[in-house]
Amino acid sequence: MPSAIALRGLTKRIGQKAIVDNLTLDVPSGEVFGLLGPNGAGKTTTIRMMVGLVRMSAGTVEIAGHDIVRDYGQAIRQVGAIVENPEMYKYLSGYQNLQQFARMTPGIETRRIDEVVEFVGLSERIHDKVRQYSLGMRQRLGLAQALLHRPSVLILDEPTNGLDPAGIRELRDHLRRLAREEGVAVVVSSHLLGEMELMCDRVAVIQQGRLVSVERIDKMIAAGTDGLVSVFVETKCQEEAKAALLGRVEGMAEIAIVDGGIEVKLPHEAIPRVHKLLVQSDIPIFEVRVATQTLEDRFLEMTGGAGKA
Amino acid sequence: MMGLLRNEHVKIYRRARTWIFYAAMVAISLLGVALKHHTAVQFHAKETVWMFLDSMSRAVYLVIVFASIVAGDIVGGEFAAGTVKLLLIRPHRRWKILLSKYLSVLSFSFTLLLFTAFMSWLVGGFVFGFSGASAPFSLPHGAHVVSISTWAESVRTYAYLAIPLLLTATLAFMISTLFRSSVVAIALSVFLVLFGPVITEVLRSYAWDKFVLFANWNLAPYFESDVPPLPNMTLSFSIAVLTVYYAVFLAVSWLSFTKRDVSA
Repeated sequence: MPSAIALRGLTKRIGQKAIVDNLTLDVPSGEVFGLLGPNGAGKTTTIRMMVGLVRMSAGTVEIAGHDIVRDYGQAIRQVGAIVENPEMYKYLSGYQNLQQFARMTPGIETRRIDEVVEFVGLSERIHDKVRQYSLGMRQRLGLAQALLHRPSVLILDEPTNGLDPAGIRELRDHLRRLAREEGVAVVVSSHLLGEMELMCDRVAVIQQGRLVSVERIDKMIAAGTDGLVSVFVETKCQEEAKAALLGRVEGMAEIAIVDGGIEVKLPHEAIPRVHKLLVQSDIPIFEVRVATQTLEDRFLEMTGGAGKA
Repeated sequence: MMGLLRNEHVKIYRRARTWIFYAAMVAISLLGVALKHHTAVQFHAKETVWMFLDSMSRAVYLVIVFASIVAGDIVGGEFAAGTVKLLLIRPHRRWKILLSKYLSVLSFSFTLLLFTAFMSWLVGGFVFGFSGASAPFSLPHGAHVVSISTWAESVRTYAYLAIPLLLTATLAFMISTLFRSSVVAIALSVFLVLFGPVITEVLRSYAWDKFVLFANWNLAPYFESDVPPLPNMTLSFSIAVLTVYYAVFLAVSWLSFTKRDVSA
């Protein structure tokens, strides 16, 4: 069975500059996949190539086994998407907008329109003009439009733009449900790490058009690349604490005096030994705390701190 | 394809703008008939509905302006609003989407033209009576004068105006597709319609003046006099020039819409 989405060596060059550089990715059905990167990293261009709005300089995109260039009709039929902002015809009502999109794909019955309107929770305002919608409502309408033709691949560019925390949570639940229950492959892009953490199963980090890494989000949060954790020990006797630990903890990679205590980098299982040594040396300690590495730290680590998140 | 055409028609006729255009044409017919009635009474002139219809053909220039606005907005507006991205990610080839837009522009333009003529005939008929269709109309033809019926003269006048209408709408459509901006398309095509005759005058001294679009799109002089609009021009020359312009407008729109990346 082919991947729901397969990018192979996807490249976009404008002049000499590679906006997207040799991207290879696979997204299976039922997964929520994140494209993470700072603004200008090439996420939007990648998404535009995936839906045929921008022609690639090299490489291929396959949607459910159909090449997006050679087999456009078959490929795009599988895709529901919002590219950047969900821009709709403002002078039409939400419902009339959906009718527009329904007419462009064969086999969408009126019942289906009502169904997606219900799903995104827009039933009460669907006959209002889009001009009067808030950004959050437009996002909902955008999602409805993307789901009309029961796509097997859903591509959302910055879908959390303009959503309040409740809206983001609701969107996450929608996406998870579509992925789990209907086996939809979902691709979302964002430059906000916190949102990715909430929504995605796996995340591809992109910087300057290049793939930096692809990782499961749970592993990404748990540990750094070297498998070590940072531990902060709060104490006033920093020199003594450092001397007590130096050379006596297996696997300890770093020890440094920091403001208000010391910081050590070591394997997680070596933490009890730190406690023991410090107590044995009679050093007064207030706290020993694992400095949980946030996704943000990981991100900066992976991208060499160059891209501001 | 039917779905696409229907969509484009919905997008044209669901806008308040379109109905303002129609209302303006009604207002102009009423204004025209009031003025004509006033002068007819004052000078004891005999006015018929067909003579009135013929004189109201000037209102077609407004139809051309309105058609340019719709044509200039139909592609550029989608880019400006960003809706083009949602429009193009559907299982239709881009050329089909473009064709449905072009056909909808033509349908709007010629419907408004017919509506305008019909309105003038209707209000004129109520004021001057509906008779007089076959009254003779003296048409200058070179040195001599030919007599044709008034209704034929009216039809002839409107038919000539259909050519600038078609070409201006197509030009606006091309600019709209090329620049992806309705503002540029509307401004440029309305400017060209209004100043076309002036531009022709200004360029008169150049050797290539007879290749200018505006010098060619009024075919009436070929039937009304022996003197061409500019030296060395003939009817078939003008038709050939117009055909080339038309083909270029369509080709540029086509290439621009189907080949270029949508990255705005």
